[in-house]
Amino acid sequence: MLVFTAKRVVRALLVILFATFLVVALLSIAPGSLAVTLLGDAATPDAVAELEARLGLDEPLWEQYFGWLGDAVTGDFGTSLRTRQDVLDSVLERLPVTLELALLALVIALAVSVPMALAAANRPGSPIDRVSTFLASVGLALPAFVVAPVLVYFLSVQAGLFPVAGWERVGEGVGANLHHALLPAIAVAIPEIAAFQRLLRTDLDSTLHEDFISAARARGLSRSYILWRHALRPSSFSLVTLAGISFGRLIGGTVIVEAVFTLPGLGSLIAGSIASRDVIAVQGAVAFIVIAYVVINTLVDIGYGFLDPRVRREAV
Amino acid sequence: MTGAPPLLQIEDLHTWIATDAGPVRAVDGVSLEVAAGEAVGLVGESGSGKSMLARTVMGLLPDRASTSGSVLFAGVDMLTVSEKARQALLGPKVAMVFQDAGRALNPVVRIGRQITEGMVRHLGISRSEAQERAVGLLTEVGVPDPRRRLSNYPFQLSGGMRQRIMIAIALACEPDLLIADEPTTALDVTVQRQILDLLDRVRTSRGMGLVLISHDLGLVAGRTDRVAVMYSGRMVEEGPTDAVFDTPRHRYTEALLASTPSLDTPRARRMRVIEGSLPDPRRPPPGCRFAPRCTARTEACDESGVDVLRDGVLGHRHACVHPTGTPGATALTKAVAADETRI
Amino acid sequence: MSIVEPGVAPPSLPSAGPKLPAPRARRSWLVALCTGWLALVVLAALLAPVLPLAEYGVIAGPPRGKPELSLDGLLGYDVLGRSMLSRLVSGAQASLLVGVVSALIAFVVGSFLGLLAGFLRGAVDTVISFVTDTLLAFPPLVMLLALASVLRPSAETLIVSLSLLMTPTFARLARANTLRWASREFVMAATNMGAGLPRLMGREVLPNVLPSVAAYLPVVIAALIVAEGSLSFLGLGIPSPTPSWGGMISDGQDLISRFPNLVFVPAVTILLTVLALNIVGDRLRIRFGEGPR
Repeated sequence: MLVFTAKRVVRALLVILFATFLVVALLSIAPGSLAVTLLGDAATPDAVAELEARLGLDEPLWEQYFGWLGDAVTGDFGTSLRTRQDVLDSVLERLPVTLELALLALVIALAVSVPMALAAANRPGSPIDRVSTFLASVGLALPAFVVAPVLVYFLSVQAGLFPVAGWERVGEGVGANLHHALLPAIAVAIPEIAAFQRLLRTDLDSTLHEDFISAARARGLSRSYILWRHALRPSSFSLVTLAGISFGRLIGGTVIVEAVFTLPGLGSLIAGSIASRDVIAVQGAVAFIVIAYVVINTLVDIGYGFLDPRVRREAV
Repeated sequence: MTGAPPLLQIEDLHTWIATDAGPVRAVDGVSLEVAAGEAVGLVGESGSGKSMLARTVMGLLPDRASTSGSVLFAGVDMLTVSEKARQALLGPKVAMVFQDAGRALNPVVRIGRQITEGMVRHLGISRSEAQERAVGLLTEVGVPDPRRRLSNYPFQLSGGMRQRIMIAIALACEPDLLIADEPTTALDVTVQRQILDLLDRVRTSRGMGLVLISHDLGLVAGRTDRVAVMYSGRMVEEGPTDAVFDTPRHRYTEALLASTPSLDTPRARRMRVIEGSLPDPRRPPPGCRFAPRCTARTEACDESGVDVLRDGVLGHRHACVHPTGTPGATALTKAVAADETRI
Repeated sequence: MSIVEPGVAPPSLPSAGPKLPAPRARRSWLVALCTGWLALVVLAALLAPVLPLAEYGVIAGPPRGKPELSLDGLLGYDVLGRSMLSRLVSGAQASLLVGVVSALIAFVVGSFLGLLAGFLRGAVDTVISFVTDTLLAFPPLVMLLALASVLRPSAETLIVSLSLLMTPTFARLARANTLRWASREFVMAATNMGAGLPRLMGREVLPNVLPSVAAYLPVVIAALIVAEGSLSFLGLGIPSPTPSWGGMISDGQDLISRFPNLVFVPAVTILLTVLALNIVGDRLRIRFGEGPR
């Protein structure tokens, strides 16, 4: 287990190094001169050269990368071209919004998908199973940019239950905060619900064919007891993994919802930076997200072992 | 053995399973009785339907299965009873020991909960009281250091220990009948006898009925009052264990005995293998299902309906058209056997 | 205990057996329905130039006009008065072109890399797997955004980004399948008979691996249509005035309270198309996607 953990950590570090290299290299390998793209076709050659020097684009690629890496290790992800703000500062400033959105969406997705999957797996082929499975298929076909405006129309505009847009910090009251966060979180959660339901439904199905389920039924235990207390846990390992990966993906994957609801999160930082061609801010934010994603995935990978007592034994 | 109604009374039971290629006739018209406190052996090759019979009694059939006939347990028809009523019987009235305890114990649930959950549900006792009883049960089935075992997971125990725990779970609610489905197949030979002896001991001390299912005739020989032999979903022979072993009547039973190498086999026979394999359970032969593999086969064997149990001495019944011990048939057997070498 | 048990019922003929449940309906009508919808979308996209519709950029009716009984106005008019149906059909062209072409490129490149990695093992496998893992270390949307920040948006750059996004997925699938097939008897037999590497890969493994991997194409196309829609929604996809489904939702979003059909029409189209691709894809995966047993 220790060797396993060490291997994972080393691999994660290598992946982070290579991935951040790609992020840095992206600025150089982009077709055409980036400086020209930034300044527009009418820019003078002097201005282009000056900008290239400032961005370090005139250096060889590996020097650019090691320069970037040296700064990044000390927490310097660069300075925004547009706002002159430290990129890491603006990322950290916006991170709580995105984190809350991702966490809330994850909680909603699990709270909805687990009962859905249990109800479906309980009686395969029944109307409940079919409805649940069909809803999951529909959910998978409802990406945020489709579902968010529709939710706004029905729940905010028509029913008036939620604000159309905007954000309140948790500091200004949990109620107000949730009032603003809930609808975006639901929009983020819908495709996740569908993915979770399908995965858990499949895993439950194979668990329910196991001998130990028959043995539990032979003890006269009720269906719901067996589902919750015997089938759910051994079926949930891949779901927990997926939920972890989803969480990582949602940090930065909530761009659309943040755009629809004008939320001050990490996604809108990237979208806004792209719109104003602030490549340094994009680079820093993307590097930050990739590192976070790899770290979370590695933790999930290692943590997976501790969920299953059979694996846990090998750890001791 | 007359008068009192049997504990378990299976009457003309059919358990068919729907598949894309037609129904699999796993159990196809089987009747069997088990009296209170009686030990009955149920013997047959894998695929003969004996496990499916046990699963039918316990209501553990797959969704695509269908049944007809009746399975009366303590006067209740297990085939038609409501799910709730059946759950109330499973555990306190009838319990089952599975073939492979490694697979029949939930790998991620502690031993303690797996033993106690049934007691809490059926006996209405508290968790801590059930815990105390579980310690007693584990002691009874010979698990050392029982208190510590309760917090173990199944993978932390040996195969023999796991099977003992399966038995403890089955005994937890003091059932009147225990169905043991190949309880020792997954175990080392040295452990097999211990487990069988354990089953014997708890049965006699508790006065419990037992259905011991096995593909191994020798295994049930000394441990059951009566034995029933199944082949391809049909019952082919049934009677007092000694009678079936000493004078098997059905050709299949005879062949099975001859092919079982065991010290328990009463007479020294030469090892023999039954040629061929079980018939397709979707399209069984019209008459005797063993006929295609039988050395004594005649045209009469292929008539539909010939494979019904015929009464015999001491309740020793068989379904053979040409039972062994009939002089003519023996001559025929030899003739057919001689003929076979040329095919 | 009596010696002969009396009163045992005479043997009776075995009874007929139980009634079995009817075989489960296969729900092929659903798959047929989905295939039909996909055929309609593809046909509309292919025939867009010859359909008797107004050009997608031409103002054909009143701005934000309600649906009416004419071909152009069947689904209403957009903010400027352009035919929604015409824009939807042109959007189908863009979405399908980008989705299908990117998926195919990713399929070809990814399968090739995965096949190489799975077959040659060793250093080649290590390098390919490491690059694959690294690319998968980017959350999908974040990778697309990073690329969009340095590429000028156009159909071509979109295809480059989207195929880069999906290549690792196909590489992984192909590698896993190759590993499973390469250890099978007939491949080993061919190896022992002295078959060369290209022949082994081309004749023995490839024909078996490709169907399993290709079965994922519909699902991947669905994912890419969603990805393209997301980028277009953010204004980073196919540049206007060329219509795209994501762009149409984005355009209508601000007016949703008064003119919901501006959003609903493209939203329902995307929902149906992605749903249909997923359902057809699931069926294909169940049939071909599992590889050797």
